[in-house]
Formats: sequence, structure tokens, C-alpha cells
Amino acid sequence: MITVSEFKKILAENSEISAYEIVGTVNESRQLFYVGRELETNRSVKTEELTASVYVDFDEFRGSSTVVITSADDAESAAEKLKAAVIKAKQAKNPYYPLAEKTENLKAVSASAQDLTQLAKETADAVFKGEEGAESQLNATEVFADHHIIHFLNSNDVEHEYDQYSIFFESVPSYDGEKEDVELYFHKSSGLNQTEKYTDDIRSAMVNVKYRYEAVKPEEVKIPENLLIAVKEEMLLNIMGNFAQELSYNRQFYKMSHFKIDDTISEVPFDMILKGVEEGVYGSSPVDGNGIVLKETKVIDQGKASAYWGNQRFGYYMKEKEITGSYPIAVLENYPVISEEDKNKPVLYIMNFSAPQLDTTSGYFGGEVRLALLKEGDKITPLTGFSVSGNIYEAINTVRFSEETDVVCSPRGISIKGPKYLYFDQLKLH
Amino acid sequence: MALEKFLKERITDAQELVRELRKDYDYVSVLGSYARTKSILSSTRMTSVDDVDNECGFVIKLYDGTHYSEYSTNEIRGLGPEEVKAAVCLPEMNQTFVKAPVLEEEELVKSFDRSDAEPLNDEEILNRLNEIRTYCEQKDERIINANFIYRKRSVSKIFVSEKKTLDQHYEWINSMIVLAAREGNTIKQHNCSENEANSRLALDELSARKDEAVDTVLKLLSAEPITPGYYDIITDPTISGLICHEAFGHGVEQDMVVKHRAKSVHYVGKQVGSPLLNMHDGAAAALSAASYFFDDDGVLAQDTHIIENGILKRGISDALSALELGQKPSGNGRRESYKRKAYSRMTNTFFSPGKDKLEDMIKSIKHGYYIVNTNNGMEDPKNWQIQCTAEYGLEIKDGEFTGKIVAPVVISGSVLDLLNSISMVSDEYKVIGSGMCGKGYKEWVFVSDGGPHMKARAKLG
Repeated sequence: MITVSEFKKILAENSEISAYEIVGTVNESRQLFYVGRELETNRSVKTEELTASVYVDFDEFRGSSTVVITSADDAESAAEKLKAAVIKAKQAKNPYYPLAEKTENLKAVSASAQDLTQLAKETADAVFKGEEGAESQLNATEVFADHHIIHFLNSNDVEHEYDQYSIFFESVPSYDGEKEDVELYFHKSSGLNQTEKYTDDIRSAMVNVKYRYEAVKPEEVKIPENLLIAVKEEMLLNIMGNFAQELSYNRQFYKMSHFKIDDTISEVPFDMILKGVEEGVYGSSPVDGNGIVLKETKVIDQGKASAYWGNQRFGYYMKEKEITGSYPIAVLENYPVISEEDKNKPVLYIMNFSAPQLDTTSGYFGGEVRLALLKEGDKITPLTGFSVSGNIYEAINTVRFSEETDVVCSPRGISIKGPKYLYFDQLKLH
Repeated sequence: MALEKFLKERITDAQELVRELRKDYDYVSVLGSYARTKSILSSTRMTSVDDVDNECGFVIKLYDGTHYSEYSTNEIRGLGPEEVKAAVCLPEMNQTFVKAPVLEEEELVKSFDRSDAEPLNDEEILNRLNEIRTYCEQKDERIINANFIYRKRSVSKIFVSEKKTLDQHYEWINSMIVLAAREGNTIKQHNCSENEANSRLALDELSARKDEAVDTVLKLLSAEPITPGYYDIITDPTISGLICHEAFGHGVEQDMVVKHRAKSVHYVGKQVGSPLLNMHDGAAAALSAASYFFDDDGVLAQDTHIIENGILKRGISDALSALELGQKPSGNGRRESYKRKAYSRMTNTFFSPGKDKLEDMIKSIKHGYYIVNTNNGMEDPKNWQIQCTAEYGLEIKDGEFTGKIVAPVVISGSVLDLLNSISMVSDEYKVIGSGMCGKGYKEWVFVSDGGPHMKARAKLG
């Protein structure tokens, strides 16, 4: 496999390339697949990847094209790919934008490597510990312990080298009784050192799957009228991730956002701070994909849009003075927690959606509920087989936040650290 | 275009590695994968011509008498058996293993090729996309973003074991329109796609849909939320396909049976839907996005007739799940990439056509909706609930469209209730090859799904 430094030399030999970004990644992974507690498949991964974006300036345009160098490439074929990329870039007549400038170059690769097999095994053990003593059981568990070393450089002498460890697992608690057996799918992404949390999460999931077994349809019970509906995890991720994206350069540039700076996003005050690194959070990264070193940005200040954020290209197109970079993490702070009076009202906690939906254009959100817990004082009634829906751009104006906090990690979007539950009172049950 | 030269050159290396590792392992195979995607985008604010989602690497699969192990790596030339053994080695962990027997295979040496019948160069493609985009942008000032995308996926794979040496090369073209329209603070988006094994045809078909795409996104600006409730519905082929995929596609993946996650195991040979229903899956069942010649376990592509006249007959499997269940594998072992495990996965999944005419189906609706354009869905293989999200619905009253549009529309409820309520099935059908399917929330693979128009009764929200 061609190394980053070898590829940089090959790039330098092509005089038509005006600028470039190179990302080299070394991936290592240990993956364990269990049926019950028995290991079915053990996987080990060690691979490298090399991707380059080449930029060609012509007339008033800056064209670009992406080249992927694989293990099938040698120096000659890599040079040929670059020639082809130049031709492709000349067809992409895009407005000019500069690449990230050098500020500080990071060298942040962990001094001592973690043993991925050990991490995967510890994760599996923590999951299985959560099963102990439960009336339900885990049908299947998959564990992925990953390590990526990322080497970024661009033609403005920006050069960073850093690494990321992450854990992903999915586990499927099942409850078998005289009625139909039931299951609830559970999955989690995180950084390291979260094993106690995995055990706690699985313990809750084991209890919840029994609740699903016992759950009845809403028409079989009396649903109170002044009901608060609480959502968490993926729905919370969808909702707060969407409000972050509403203020991204990208959505602003494409005129797809509902909010501008100083607009009120929510009548309920809360802050949203975007950042690169947070301990234990999946996808934590000190720099973004364009090599910008990430500093914190408060994008929502007491419910009002306070700043835009995003990548180099759209930041430049939006004429931003200081381009923030793209963030992996949003932290919610300074929000009023739910009052004692509201807490004592009947609350319907949505524990599991089939697949939480949020249409970013219309604001529709909701979905089919696999398990909800209706809490009326000390009484808990598990419910299933119904849907909830509402409009997030309206419902956010009366949202309440839980005192209990959580971190919900997204493998592909923004991870959220903040309240565990969002409480709404304008949703329909059907 | 044919099998990538790099992989062709690695066949003898793979054979040598298999020979060496067989000295210590009961089963050894090597899968080599080289996939490239050419992506060309013409949009209101940006143009790009890129290679994306490229991968090149190998999976070495081993069975040591206790369990299966795999090693994913970029290169096998020069890779010694000791390096592979070290990579998959597990330290002592007091582990018990699933008792799977050794994979048995039959002798097979074969090559396959299906290349783009009418390839176009980048400039020709970009010019076609620009032409369609400009047309759409000029039709109405409320169109704020028009994106036209061409993607050609070229896949080469080799599979080498003691008894098999297989290679394949195939290509598939996906073209897509994504339009966004805005009126005040109301923003709507509409997607549609065309998919072919032929570049010229894919772009011709995309161009033919440009007026419909503009009309639809503008109509969506006046869409209202639906009043939740039970309605008679007619599903378009994309929604029929989504129901097929979510209701019984995931539910019959045999690795879910191994994990005690599939309710379908109790229903084989039983009625699970209307007698009008026939469902197929298979890489050889249709020519579409998931039409390969052999799967990632080296099993030849097949056409599995899953539901026959409403009766569940059989499921789909990867090699390991089939082995554990004592079944013959169905050629559905698929990996997201060479860096991931093979699971039982859907390929081209669809309901077969029936005998009804669409116009008769519409006339038969007293009050209901024509549900259009797939968005996403979610499976529930153990408990057979279903959720399918459609882009929009068109109201029908007394057998005629009223002009009212509702969006988005979520179909939910029990799989059995929905499939048993199917009362009419149209005589034409379409398989749409533009989708991706995950297992849970990961393991994304290209799939197609589809079917005829179907009349059913469903809960909408």
C-alpha cells in the first residue's frame, strides 16, 4: 500500500493540481459475534485506506475530484488516477474556496496501543453481566472494538495525526413466556471506559423487554388527557441533531433552514454548544475532515440561534469570517429541568420506537411505538402497538428537560450530551 | 470492463494461501473484493465528478473445529499463514462456542461478467445531467435546489476455497433526482430514481421523469398532515416493495432463526397473507441493484420463492446460518464490505404481479389514499410489527382522486393484519434498484425491492 508521504510526492509531480487534501487511515478492529453467550464468529481487521481530494483552479472556478488509492495501486497507477482526477476536476465548475490554513498541527496518536481483543471481551462481559439475574435473556450480541489512526494533510502545510478508539455493540434481549415471545433491539456506540454504563443499559433493557411482553394497546386502558410524552435516545438525537443542522452553513447555503441568527428556535431557553472532543463519546475528534482544529461554538443561546457552523467550503461560500469546522458533538446546557408539578403529572415514556422519524423539511416527528411506559404516580402501565406524532418546530416551544443526563452517540451524525429525556405535551397518540 | 486485473492476479495467491492454511484448518476460503463507484452530481450550487465508496481487500475465513474466524486485510500477496493465524488468535477467555460443523462445498470453477451495455464518458453524463437540471430549475422559481445524480457501481470479486474458484464482475447504474422547493418557511423535498444496467437507458429514463418530479415537489408544498386512522389504501410499486422488504424480507433471514429472533420459524407452511400474495427474493430473481452471480460465501445466486399464494414456504440464508440449520444456502450471504461479516441479507425482493387493473383498484376505494414513493421502514422479525414511511399520499373518494395531498405518511401495525388485508393486486409490477438496507442500524448493502400496486387496509399516521 502506498504511504501518505509517498503519495504526497506523486501528487507534487502533477503540475496541474492547484491544491490537495490527503487522508490516510489505518483501521484495526476486533469483532465478536455471539448467539446467546456462545461465540459464533471471531473477526480481526487490519486495513489501510488513502483518499485524496485534488483541486484544480481554472478561469474563476475551483474544480475538485476525489481519488481513492487502494492496495491494487502502485506509484504508476496512482499517478494515472491523479491525471484522470484532474480531467474530472476541470468538469466541476464550482466557485473558488480556499483550503484550511495552518494554525496548529496536531500529533495526538495514543502512546500505547489498547488491546482491541481485550476491549471487545470486556465489552461482551459487561453486556453479559447486565443479563445476570434477569428474567429475560440475550438472544444475540455483537461487539466491535475499533481503532483508527488518521493522518491528514493538505497543500497549505496543515498536517495532523491522531487516533480514535470506539466501541459499538448491539444486543437483543428477549422474553419468552406463555404468550408470544418478544424482543427489543438494543445498540450503543461509545468511546472507551464505559463498561459500567453498558451493564446498566443492558439491565434496563432486560427489564424493558419484560414490559413489552406485558404491554397492552392504549385502547385497553384509560389514557389521561393532560399527558406529557417523554422521548429519549434516538429520537432525542434526531431532534437535537436537526436543530444543530438547521444552523449549519450547508443548510443555510442551500436555503433549506427554517432559522437564521437571532431567530427564536425555542421559547424554552437552552444552550447548545458544539465541540470536537468529549470523553467517552463515539466519534470524538480534535479536527474535522478538512483539517480545521475544532474549538467550541455556542450555536443556540437560551433558545435563540447564535452562530452558524460547518465545513470549510460552505463557510467560505457563506462569507463567514471564522470558519468553525464540522463538529461531531453537541452539548446541551443551561436548560430548565422539569418542574415537580409536571413530574407528578401522568407521563408516557417512549422507551422504544420501531424507527424514530423526523422529517426535517416539515418538522413531522414520531413513529410506531414498540414499548412505552405510562407512569401515573407509582403505577406503571406498559403500552405497545400505537404511534405518536407531532411537529417538532411547534413542540419545541413547550419542551421540558429531564434532570437526569445521558450521552447518545451517533455513528454517522452528531452525538448529544445533555438531558436524558425531552418532555412534550403537543403530540398525538393514534 | 471485466474482472479487475489486480484480483485476477491474486487468484493463484489465494489458492496457495488456502493450500497452506488447510494444513491447520478444516475449512479455508478467500474472498477478494474490488468495488468502485463513479459518482457524478449536477446540482443548483455544485458539480462533482468523483470516485466514492471504493474498496479493495480480502477476507480469509477459517474453521478450526470449534468456531469460524475471519481476517480482513488489504493484500494477500506475501501474506503467510502464520500472520493470518496470529491475526485471528483469541487469548484464553474460557469461551464456549456455537457448535457449527464444517462448511461442505461442491467443486465449481466459473467466471461471470455483466458490464454496462452502453457506457458514457464523464462529460456526456454531466452534460445530460446539466440539461435536465437547467430544465427543472427554469420551470418554477420555487425550486430552490435541483440535484441530479448518476452513480455507477462496478464490482469485481473472486472466491477461492479448496473446491471452488469463482470470479465475477458486474455493474449497476443508479440515477436520481432530488428536488427541493420553498414557499415562505414551507420547504419540501422530492426524490425519484431510475436504475438500469445500462448508462444511456438510466439517463433517458431519468430525463423522462423530470416534469413529474417538478410537479410533485410543487404539489408537496400544499401537503397537509394526514388525519391518523385506518384507511383503504393502494400502494405504488415502491411502497409494495417496502412492505415486502420490511414485513417478510427481514423476517425470513435465516441468521435471525439461528439467533432465535425470527417468528417466521413457527409459520413455515402456514398462511401469512392473502392468497393473492407471492413473494420472491434472490440475486437471480430479477436484474437489479442486487443482481450478482455468487454471494460473499461463494454460493451461486438463486431465486427463492418465499411466499406462495399467501403461504410461507422458505427463507433466505448465508452459508453459515444454513449450515447451522441444516439447510441448503440460498445465495444471500452478503457483506457491507470486505471489512465486515457476511449475514443473511435480502437482494432483489418483490411481490409478484396479480390480475387486477389499477383503474379498477382506484374505482373500488370509497375513501382512502394512494400511497406513493418509499422513504424508509423498519423490521420487527420477532414480533411482526411494521413501520413504512411514504413520501406522500393522494386522497381518493368515491373511486376518484380529490386532488388533496398528505405528507409524510407512515403505515404501521401488524404484519399479518396488513398482508391478510390485501384484496387486489395489479397486473403490472416494477422492481426498483435504488435502495440500501441495513441490519438493525448498520451493515448497509445495496438492495432492490418492488411489486405491483396493491389494495390493502392499513393504519396511517
